[in-house]
Amino acid sequence: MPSTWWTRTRHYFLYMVREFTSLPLAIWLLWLLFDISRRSLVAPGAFAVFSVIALPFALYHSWTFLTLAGTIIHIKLLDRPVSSRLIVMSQFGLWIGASVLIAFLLTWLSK
Amino acid sequence: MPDKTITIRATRFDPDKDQEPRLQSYEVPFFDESMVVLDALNHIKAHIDGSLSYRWSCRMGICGSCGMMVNGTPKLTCNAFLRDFWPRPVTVQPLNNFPVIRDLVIDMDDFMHKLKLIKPWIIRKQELPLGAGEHRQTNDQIDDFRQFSECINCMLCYSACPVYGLNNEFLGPAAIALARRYNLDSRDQGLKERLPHIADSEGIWECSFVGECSVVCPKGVDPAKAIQQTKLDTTMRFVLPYGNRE
Repeated sequence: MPSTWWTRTRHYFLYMVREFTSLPLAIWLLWLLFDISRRSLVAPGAFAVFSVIALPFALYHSWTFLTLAGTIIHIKLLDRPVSSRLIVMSQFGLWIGASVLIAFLLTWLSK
Repeated sequence: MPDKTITIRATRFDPDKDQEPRLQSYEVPFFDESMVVLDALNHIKAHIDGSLSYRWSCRMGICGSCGMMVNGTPKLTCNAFLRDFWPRPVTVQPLNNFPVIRDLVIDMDDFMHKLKLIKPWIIRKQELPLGAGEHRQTNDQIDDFRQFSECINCMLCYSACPVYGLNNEFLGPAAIALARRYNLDSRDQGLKERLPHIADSEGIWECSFVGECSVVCPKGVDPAKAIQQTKLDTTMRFVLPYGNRE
């Protein structure tokens, strides 16, 4: 298997993009944990810039993850299978709800 | 010979003579819009070069024998129409990720071994006598596993799977999809016998959900779905001690 296997098809390439987008997200989280452990921001400007860079990666990764949930989760309600579309929509709904709640709490705590 | 022809470039490899596989070109008459790649190979075999080796049987997408790489994509050659490629040449190669025995023939022993591991048949703890009647199922119970039962063991999914290409210890898409087919069957009681192979580190947990197995399946089976759902079920069995253990 050549190391360039992921360039063979568009599907393989998108898979690699999906997997790669977790890397900036992981680095961002490690940076955040490091700052939390020191109880101060080491380089606030650089962290803000990196946060902006990492945001589209995080959004893309979350989008792919939540979209795939429709394939993975299979549940029945009242003996009827719940459609994957409904599962995906509920995942996105929960994601948006959680984001709004966290944004509200952060804004409220910073006052 | 009719005016319209198509170029077929087929892999030739004789392990007794050749160091490496090579491509050989053949001009094949393209006289009928319904011709498929397998027809072109059969024409080569019958009229141009009788030494070309490949597997085929039913010619109607049921037996799963004629899977090959067609212009780089795993396909059943009986279901790959020449009209979709003409006037460009068609390159036919053996399925990726398998050792080549000769020309377009791959060694399928590894797949057969894995298929046997997951015991793709109905297992009962105790067989009932025939006089006890049928094991009846409702339509909903059949719908639970129906799509996974469409697998014809053509191995296109193994050929499309980069995880299997990088690590051939991986149990693989078709075997796991078939295991799920039987585990979801209301008549089956063999989950515990299959679980050691399915839930092994070289089983479902090796899959990183590339998803190409489901894209290339000629029968509309979704092995990627089977694998991810089995991951979820296996996890639930682990975290919920009083959950669905049987």
